[in-house]
Amino acid sequence: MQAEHEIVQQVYAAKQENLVADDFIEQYKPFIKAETAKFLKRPIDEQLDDEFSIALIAFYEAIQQYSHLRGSFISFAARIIRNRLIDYWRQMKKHQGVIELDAPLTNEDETTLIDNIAEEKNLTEERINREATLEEIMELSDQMDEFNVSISEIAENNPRQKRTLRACQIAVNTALKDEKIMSQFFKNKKLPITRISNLSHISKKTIERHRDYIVALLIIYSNGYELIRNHLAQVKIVKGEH
Amino acid sequence: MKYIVVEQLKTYVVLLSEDGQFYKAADLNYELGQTINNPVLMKNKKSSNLDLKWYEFKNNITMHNFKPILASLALILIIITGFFMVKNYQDYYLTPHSSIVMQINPEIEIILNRKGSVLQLDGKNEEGIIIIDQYELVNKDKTTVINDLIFMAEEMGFINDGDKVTFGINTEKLDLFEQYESDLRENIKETVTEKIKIVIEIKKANELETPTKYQTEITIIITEKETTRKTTEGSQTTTTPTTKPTTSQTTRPPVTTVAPTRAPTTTIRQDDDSDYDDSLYDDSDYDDSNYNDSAYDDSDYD
Repeated sequence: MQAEHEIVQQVYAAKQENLVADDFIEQYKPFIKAETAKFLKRPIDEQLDDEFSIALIAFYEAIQQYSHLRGSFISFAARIIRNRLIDYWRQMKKHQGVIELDAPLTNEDETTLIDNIAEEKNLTEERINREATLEEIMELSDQMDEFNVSISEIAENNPRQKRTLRACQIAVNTALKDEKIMSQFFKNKKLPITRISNLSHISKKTIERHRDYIVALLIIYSNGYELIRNHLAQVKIVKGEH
Repeated sequence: MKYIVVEQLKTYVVLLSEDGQFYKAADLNYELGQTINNPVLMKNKKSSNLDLKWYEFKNNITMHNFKPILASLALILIIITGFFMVKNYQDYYLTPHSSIVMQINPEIEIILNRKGSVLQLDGKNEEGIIIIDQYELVNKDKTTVINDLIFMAEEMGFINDGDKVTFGINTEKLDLFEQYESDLRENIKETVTEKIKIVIEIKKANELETPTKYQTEITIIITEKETTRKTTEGSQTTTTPTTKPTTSQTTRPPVTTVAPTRAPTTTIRQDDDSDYDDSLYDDSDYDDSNYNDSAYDDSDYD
């Protein structure tokens, strides 16, 4: 009983703090591995088996969804992992008979099937592309650090609903066009919510709630980041004048 | 839909989709900056905040910060209970519940509370008011009060031998009516004084006749609780008796001080002197042992 209580407390702590969650997951890696092995009925390789990665995020989801009213956390988590793996296998079954192009050919080297099929030129291009993108990402990450925003957190507060997403885009667009706001933004490393709200007629509450997301977009759309912006072609945001 | 891997952590990656959304996803051997097509996105379902708060609340309750809460809760409970207690008390004891109307000539309504104790006396006619004025309500027992009032009425000359005293019981409940009826029958003295007997009649209050001969009425109100004594203010009539025994005793006032004024009818015959209380006469001091009558010889008297 006491151990159970401790676990619940840990889970609740992990809910609130990402770093705490990471430690907690690290602690339970063996358990997660065991559950996956149970499901696949074979031993698991952490690096190579996709299923393991999926089980990992399933465990993460379990942390977020768990409530102490739902009984023991361990059994709850085991259930979630199993369900996730089942979902994944159903999806894979659709492509039954097709070998995954990304799957490694052998266990020794890291080359994949697609690597062998692809032309050398494409491969290089892709690699260059990826490395360039990586650079942008690193820079973006650094800039966002200055604003005290982490990409991980954005993923949690992302506006999912169409309505709010649209509202955020309007807010971003309005801000981008206003020099005062942008200079204040970069100077203070903070989002001038009131001014943006007044100018764009989007409620303060909405802006506040998705503050991290708006900050990220403002940064992306005001400083280079060509590759990322190209990627975001579907996003209805006007590029800032720079 | 294409996704760029924008961050990589121990247990997952963060992807940026083409429509500008950031997602957590499973790290299927990705590399940072890579563009992918078939992510396994993490679901963003969370347990409710309420549940979290409840859990924190449960864990943070210690005796230390619980005590003031307990104390104020207890206090509130006590106050509420006290309030209801007072209310019940009032309802039960202080509210007029039923009444008995006593008709002689003076008509008195005796208002009772739920328990059957006298709350109040009401003079329903002039004579009734007179009696009320003189009577001090100390004892709350209805039969005692009634007996007192009858006695007073007799002293004041309102009652003569053979007069009828009618009691009208004023209550809706049948069982209460019967209870009071038997109570009155058992405990009201028909012999007011040795000479004066009354006839008792018990009816329902709405069946009482208003006596045509006499106009005045008194209502004795019997209520339940030991409240403040109440006597109604009577109008002063010219027939107010001058000397009245207004002692504060609940029982009979001593006979010796009676000097009633007569009502217009018969006089009371004073043949009966059994009431003379000669206990006061103390002749224990008379010592006749000294009378020396040995000289008298009356043995010859036949």
